[in-house]
Amino acid sequence: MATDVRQAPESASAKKSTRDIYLPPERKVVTGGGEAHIVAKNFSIYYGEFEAVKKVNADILSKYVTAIIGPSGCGKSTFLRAINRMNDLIPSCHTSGTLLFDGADIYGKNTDEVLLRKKVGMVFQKPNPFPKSIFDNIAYGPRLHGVSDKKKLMEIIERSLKKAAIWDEVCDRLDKNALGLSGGQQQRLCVARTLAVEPEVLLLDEPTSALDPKATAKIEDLIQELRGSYTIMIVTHNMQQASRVSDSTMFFYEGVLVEHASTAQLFTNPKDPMTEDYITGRFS
Amino acid sequence: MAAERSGESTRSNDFVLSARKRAAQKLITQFGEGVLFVLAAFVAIIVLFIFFFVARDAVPFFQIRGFSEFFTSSNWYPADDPAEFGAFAIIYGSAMVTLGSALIAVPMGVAAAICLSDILPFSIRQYAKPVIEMLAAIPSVAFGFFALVVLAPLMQNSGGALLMWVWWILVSPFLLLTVIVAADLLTNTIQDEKRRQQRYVTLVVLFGVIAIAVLLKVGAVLNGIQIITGTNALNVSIILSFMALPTIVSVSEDALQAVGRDIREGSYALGATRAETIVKTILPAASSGILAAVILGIMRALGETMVVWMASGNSSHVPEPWFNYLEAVRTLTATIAGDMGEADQVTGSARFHVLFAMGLLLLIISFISNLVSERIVVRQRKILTGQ
Amino acid sequence: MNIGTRKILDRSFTAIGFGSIIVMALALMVVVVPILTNGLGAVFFTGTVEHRKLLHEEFQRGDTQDLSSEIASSERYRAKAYAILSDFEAELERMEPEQQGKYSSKYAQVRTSLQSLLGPLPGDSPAMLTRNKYGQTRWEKAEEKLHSFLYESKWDNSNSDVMGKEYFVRRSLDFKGTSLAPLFPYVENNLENMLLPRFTVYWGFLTDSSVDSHFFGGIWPEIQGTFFLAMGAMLFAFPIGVIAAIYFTEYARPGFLNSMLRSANSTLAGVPSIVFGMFGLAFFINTLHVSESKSVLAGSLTLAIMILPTIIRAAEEAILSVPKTYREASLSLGSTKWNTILTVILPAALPGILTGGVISLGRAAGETAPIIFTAAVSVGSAIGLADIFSSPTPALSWNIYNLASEHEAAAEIRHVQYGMVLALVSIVLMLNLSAIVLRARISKKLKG
Repeated sequence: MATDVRQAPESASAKKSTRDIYLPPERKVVTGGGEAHIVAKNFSIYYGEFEAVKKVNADILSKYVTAIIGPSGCGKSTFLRAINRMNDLIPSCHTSGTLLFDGADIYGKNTDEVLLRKKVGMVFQKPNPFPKSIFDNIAYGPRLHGVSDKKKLMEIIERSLKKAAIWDEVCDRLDKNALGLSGGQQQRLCVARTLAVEPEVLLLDEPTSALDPKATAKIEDLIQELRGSYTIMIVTHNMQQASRVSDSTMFFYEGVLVEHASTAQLFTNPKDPMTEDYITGRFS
Repeated sequence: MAAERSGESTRSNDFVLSARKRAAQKLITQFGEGVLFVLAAFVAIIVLFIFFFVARDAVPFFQIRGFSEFFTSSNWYPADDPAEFGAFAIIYGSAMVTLGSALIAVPMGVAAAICLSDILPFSIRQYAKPVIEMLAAIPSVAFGFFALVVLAPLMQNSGGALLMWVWWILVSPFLLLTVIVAADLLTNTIQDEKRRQQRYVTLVVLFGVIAIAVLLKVGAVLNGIQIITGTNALNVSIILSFMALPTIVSVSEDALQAVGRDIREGSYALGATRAETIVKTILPAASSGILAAVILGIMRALGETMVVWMASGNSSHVPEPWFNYLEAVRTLTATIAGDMGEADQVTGSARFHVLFAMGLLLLIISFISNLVSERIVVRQRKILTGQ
Repeated sequence: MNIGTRKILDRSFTAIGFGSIIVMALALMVVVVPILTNGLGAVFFTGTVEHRKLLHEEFQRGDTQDLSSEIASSERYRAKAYAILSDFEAELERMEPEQQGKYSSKYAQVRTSLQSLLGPLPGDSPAMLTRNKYGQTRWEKAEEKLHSFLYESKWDNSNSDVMGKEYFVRRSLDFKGTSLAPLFPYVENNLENMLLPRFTVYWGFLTDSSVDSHFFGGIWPEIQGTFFLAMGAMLFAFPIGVIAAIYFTEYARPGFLNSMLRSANSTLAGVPSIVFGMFGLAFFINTLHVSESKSVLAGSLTLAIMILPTIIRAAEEAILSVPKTYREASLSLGSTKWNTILTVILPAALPGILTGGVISLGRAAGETAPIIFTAAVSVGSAIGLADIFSSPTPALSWNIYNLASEHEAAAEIRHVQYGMVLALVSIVLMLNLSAIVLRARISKKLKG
């Protein structure tokens, strides 16, 4: 099912189908990247007896944006959270098969999940800044990983905030409580906080579902900015969003990866009738 | 650990450690968790120790004196020669004040809990809750002091009048209600509205006269009562009920809150009044939680020491007649507190060990009732969540 | 049932609910108001010259010159009373033996009565107890004593059906015609000049040690003892309680062992307080020998065990109320579990944990039963910090009991007892109030 989507951007601009109007007019050309960064082989996730994600095989390409869509309860979030082992928090959760990150098994015996999470950052559905100052929020990760020099921290913070396109809005109140920001600002702050750890992969779990349209647009712009620098995976229930921001799309239904193809192809010419029914809104 | 990690090389899959390093890391984590577990298990160890050490000093008493005297005789002369250790009157005293306080605290506590959860608007509830918390916070010795210095003289000097006023204030509204309800029920079957009205009025007047007569008569009898001693079972029961109330109110309120909104709405939608909704649907649904609250409240009264020690009169006899709350009594807790100082701890005479036997009795009762109330709460939660 | 009746029942149901809440509030008032009003009397009262004399002699307080001029002025008035006494004593000497017998016992009563009012009279041998060295130090007490000086109390037992009735007879009637007769009106009219009552604020009540088993002086040793015991208990219980709560919320896996531990916690919470006292005696003192006999250490350990379940529960609740998202965010940034607990969860839960701690502190300060056999002593001075391992201490809770129930003159020192109760209740209520305020502020803060 894992289709080659390496040429996704080109093919998207080549074809001029109706759905392409959702794509941003100009897409940054990604230099480098395109190798299989995360590879799932017969990968299943169980909650106790219940198999929530069933034998998934997929390649996630580096530096591209991969969207995961599907009706609620289809296992898309579970799959995303498996990549940085956030599912470890649920005691009954266990896996089978292999999930490789840069060729190393994420669920291997000798894998240190803490070091893994440093490389695989995550942004959650609801903005969740710590009840601390903006500065401390961003500095949290670098401090964890041994940066204590104030000047260096400041550098990292400025860089991360600029990358997350929020520097201009908060640069004069870094010492204020982060909970005082608006929802959209908080979410971008959370992105900045994740970027400060310098991850390779960015997992976004429905990052705009709690935001208003304006803030959503800003986050989407941000994803476009980051595209090419990070491997990004985004879970979304909003198909327009998936088609706007992603290079390839995975469609999950009841735990099964039904189709994985370049976004343009999946939205214009789905292979599976189920996918077609879903994207045309026959069920949700 | 964090600093050590950051020093890793930039190899892209550096999150995979060497087998030895991973094993060492796991060992450290497990050791840490083990330490946490030991500290968390500290409580369980303490509970075992309490049982063990109280039982260790209680067993010798039963070895020396056997069981029957302790539980059946009322002769408590631990200092005499030969000594007598009949604790029946003391156990009876404990039961009596506990029951007395429950009789006052349970109806009031449940009514207050209902009021808090279903009747009061949120803004008032915010002020009512701290009142209850304050009542719970006042140290028992302060209650004991109040019982001894304020309430006891008051009872001794004007007890009869006090009882009469309490009777009038508390009972007259209930009698009035009974009159109205009885008249209504008796006229219910009459179809003709006019005749029913007439009959209703006559019955209300008739019952009303009877009720007033009863009220006055009992009031006069109560007024004539002379309370010999202010430090008696009634005094202690009243104060203990103050102390049990906060527990009963807060635990029952939790139980009532746990009954969902939909049940309430379902009842209102069928045309029930608030009282009917509460009495017929909410209370039965919350009944086991309320039972647990009552058990916890009663335990608070049974285990209380200072109030009974200061204000129960400490006289080891079964009151005459057995329900006479106006006589002095003595309880298990007060006996332990009062006699430990005189008992010989070093050689450990029967006089010392009998106090531990009492302690063990209290401990077992509290343990069982705790288990029971816990089970009840768990069961109610299961029923309400539909499992 | 008729709809009208149903409505009436509904209303009265509501009324009962309101009624019981009002009764609870009233109960709180009825208990707290007398404690408050009478307790304040230990600090704010009308003091006599005897009180100032006492403060000067026992605590070296007050202005020597003012005091001596006050004493001189009161002595001027007292001198006349003393003169009447010595006149009468001389008259008594000259009387017939049978007449002498008739007067002497009554005169002895008058003399003791006057002694308790004004302090030692001329010709008395020096008093041994401090309480006999001074007259009445408080004006309202002096007025009571004046009454018993002027009137003799008698009991009417003529009707054997009801209890005896007390009635009063003027003592001056007994001494009609003797040279003592003028004493009564003189004392009655000049008591103020002899005692010089003045409004007094005696903050020393809180900071002085007691003089002559709480007849005079303050309650500092008790306050300090309560402080030591409660803080000691917190020192043991707080760290263990918080760590146990961390284990229960973050590490424990559901299962038999875990439910046993939780059961143990609620069992411990239900153990009667007196049983904690027995356990403290049997375990800490008789088995572990943490000290020879009662000590602050043994008492603190016993109290620590008692408040442990409360602390654990409060800390658990506080930790559970920290949003799960904080945990996820921290972990996703590559933080270890332990680091997440220390840097994110505990700081966010801290106010809630502290609230529980403050309430437990109040409970430890107020409890009596656990310290009866392990730490409390009735009389004693304030102990030093070095003595907490070996010596027992007076404590507010225990001494309230002791003064009210076992003191030889409990009725004479009600004001001290009330003062102590007020001190204890205000310490505990302040702690609880601050906990309530703290909690309100947290919930505001967490809402953003």
